[in-house]
Amino acid sequence: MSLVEVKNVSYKYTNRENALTDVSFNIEKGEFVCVLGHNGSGKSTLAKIIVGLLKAKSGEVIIDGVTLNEDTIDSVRQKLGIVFQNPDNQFVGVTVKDDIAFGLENRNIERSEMLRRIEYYSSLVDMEDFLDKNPENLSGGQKQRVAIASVLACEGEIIVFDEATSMLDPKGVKEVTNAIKKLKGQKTVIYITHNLDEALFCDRVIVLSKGVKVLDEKVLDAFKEKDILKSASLDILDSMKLIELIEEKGLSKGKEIEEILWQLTYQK
Amino acid sequence: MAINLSKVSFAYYVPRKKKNIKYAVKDINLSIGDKDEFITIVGHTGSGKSTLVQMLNALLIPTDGCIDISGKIISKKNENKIKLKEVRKKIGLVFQFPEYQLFEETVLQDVCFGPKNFGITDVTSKAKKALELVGIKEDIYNESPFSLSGGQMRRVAIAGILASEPNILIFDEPTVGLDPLGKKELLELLRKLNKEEHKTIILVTHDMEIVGEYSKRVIVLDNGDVVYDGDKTELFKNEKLVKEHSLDLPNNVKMLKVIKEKLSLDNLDIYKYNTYDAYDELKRVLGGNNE
Repeated sequence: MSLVEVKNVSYKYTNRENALTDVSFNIEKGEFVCVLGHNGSGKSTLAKIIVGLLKAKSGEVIIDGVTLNEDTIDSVRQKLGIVFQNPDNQFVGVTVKDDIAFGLENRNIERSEMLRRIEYYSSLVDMEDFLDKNPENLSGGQKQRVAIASVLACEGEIIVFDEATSMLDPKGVKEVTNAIKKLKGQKTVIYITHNLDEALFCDRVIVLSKGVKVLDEKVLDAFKEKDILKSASLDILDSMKLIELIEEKGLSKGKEIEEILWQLTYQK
Repeated sequence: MAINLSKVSFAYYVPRKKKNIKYAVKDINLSIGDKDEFITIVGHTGSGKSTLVQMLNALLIPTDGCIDISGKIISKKNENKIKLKEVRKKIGLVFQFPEYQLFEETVLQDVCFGPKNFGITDVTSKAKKALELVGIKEDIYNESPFSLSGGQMRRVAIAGILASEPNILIFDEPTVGLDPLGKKELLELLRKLNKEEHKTIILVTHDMEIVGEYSKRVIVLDNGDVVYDGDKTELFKNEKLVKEHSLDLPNNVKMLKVIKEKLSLDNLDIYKYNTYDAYDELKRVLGGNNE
């Protein structure tokens, strides 16, 4: 049994074309899966369906053996956390500490345990020195790391990142992805983005295009699927673009250069 | 109608005794032409980029020094005498996430709002022209701007600035949050405005790919100082400067650099900013035949 099972899920917003059409996949415990797609590809809709913020029009989502529905949603949600795109939209606390505590208070966690988790998860994302600061005054990367700590503190098994870095500067992106990488081996991660670059730290890539799953591959194999990525309006890596041009037009020492470019891609 | 900054400093707060003033930008000298320039401004968060661009269209008045915008002198001394509207009409500033500023009932009304306030005549036709430039089709002119996709909303917001027909357009991180296709479309639009309409484009960005592929001139800010102002390739060649200000090299430059080292290609010019140029340069040095 897989930890996450998405079975034939479809969704449609009123007066629009299908946002998702018959999407199916499984995610194993501990896997890092990148869901890649252009704006409007349905990737955020999928995220909301997996965490139960939207209800699929047809098909089902099974988390750890339990089918998501109105009766099970409260218990299933304990296993799930989601970090959204805009860090400014998710703060409730006056201080970083309060903010991390918010989810725990809602779950009636004991105070001593609450303090332990705040300390543990704030240091996991390197924000332990900011606990008494107002989240408003933090940088984008810092805000997102606080949001991650808040979600982690609830100790769900599955964490969904819905374009969690798309509003950050390169420094912020690095901070946040470094924090996410630390979860390897501990959490199951669904990482939603439109940047192929960011898929590199995941194990597997699922590509959505116009609401349809068009690719589901191990990361490095996915990069080779240039045609599918392009037809899904995604940008292929610059190294892949150069390899493609060399193959198409020819170059002496071309094979050697392709090898160098592949190595560069792996190193990332 | 150029912009000249001489010894410009800005502080968000000046204590009464004028001691220990914390400047956001300090002693900046710059000169920007009113047409055909494509400038990128780079620097880390907090380096003064946003402060600088807000002074360029007189949203902020320098604490010290003065800015000459086509003969109009903007400084603390004559703060109250300047006709700011005239200045702002000619220099359009597009903030980060401009789609947040949409508010009208329809797309067309929203685009008309800016020029109307500047007292421009013939507003509707100018708005339509601007919408056409950004690639918004007529069939959504009467839709609510809030029913559009993120990329469309941003283009409508930009049309709102274009409709006033400024000579200089300043964009603060215009591609953040857009997907690769939306990003490319927007940058191609800026390139078109620069090449065909001869606008000066000033673009604040963290993205070295944009610096490499689109701009000619790059200004690097660090801690409120201009630490570099000149040709982009000269910047990338200056390893010490690139390292000191922890700037990244564009992808194609990075790749060519590694290829050059590994294959000892001494005469390979690594400063190429897109795949085609990179390939052509490799071909020039290596020859085009597959072995």
